[in-house]
Amino acid sequence: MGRVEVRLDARERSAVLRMLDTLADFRGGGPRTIPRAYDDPDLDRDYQRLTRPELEQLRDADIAAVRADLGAATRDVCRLDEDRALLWLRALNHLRLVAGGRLGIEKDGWEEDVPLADAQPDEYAMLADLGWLQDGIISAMDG
Amino acid sequence: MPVEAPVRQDAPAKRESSARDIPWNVIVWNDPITLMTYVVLVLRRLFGYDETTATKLMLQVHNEGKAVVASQSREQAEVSVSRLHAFGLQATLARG
Repeated sequence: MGRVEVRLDARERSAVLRMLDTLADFRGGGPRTIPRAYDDPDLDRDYQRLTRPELEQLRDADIAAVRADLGAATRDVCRLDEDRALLWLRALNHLRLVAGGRLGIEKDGWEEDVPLADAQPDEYAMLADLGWLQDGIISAMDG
Repeated sequence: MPVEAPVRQDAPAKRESSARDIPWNVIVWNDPITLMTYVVLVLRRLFGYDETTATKLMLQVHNEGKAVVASQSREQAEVSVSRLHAFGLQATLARG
């Protein structure tokens, strides 16, 4: 699989960076971003003790890498190999989970209940924009 | 001096071996935020599934709330779950 080219002009890159800043401040916490592995609370506590620090470090590293790539874009293009593209996808997915958590989204079909634009919390737009970016990268990887 | 009869030691080892042989299911749970295309990609990358199999599992997650995506030893299942968590998927392991 070759490189993925993520084309974002300066305005779009600024918008993504703002989303990173906004959502990264609220990362961590909540069942989605700290998923359980076992139903048994004792087993899960042991699992979390061993794996959570590494998971959080990975997320921090992924977000930092996306931030660095956006800053280093050449002629509005970020070129990603497969591993880097997967890293972007992980980071974008995490940020979407944070946004969804802040909106209290718990069930499928939430897209049908999005408030009108004027009354819409910013997180809805972030979900849409980050989802669009994620889908674009996935399509490019599959192409 | 009386000699004590030897005590068999193999029974406990057999039970431990049997316990280790029982596979653990790796379960992916539905989440309303995560894109379906992303779930398919993650299943393909982590488990080597082809597009058809990964899509079938994703649809099961979406429609039924969860799907068993692998059956492995407990150690392997824990690794698989941690990798799924790293990609942001809700995943657990349970005895098969």
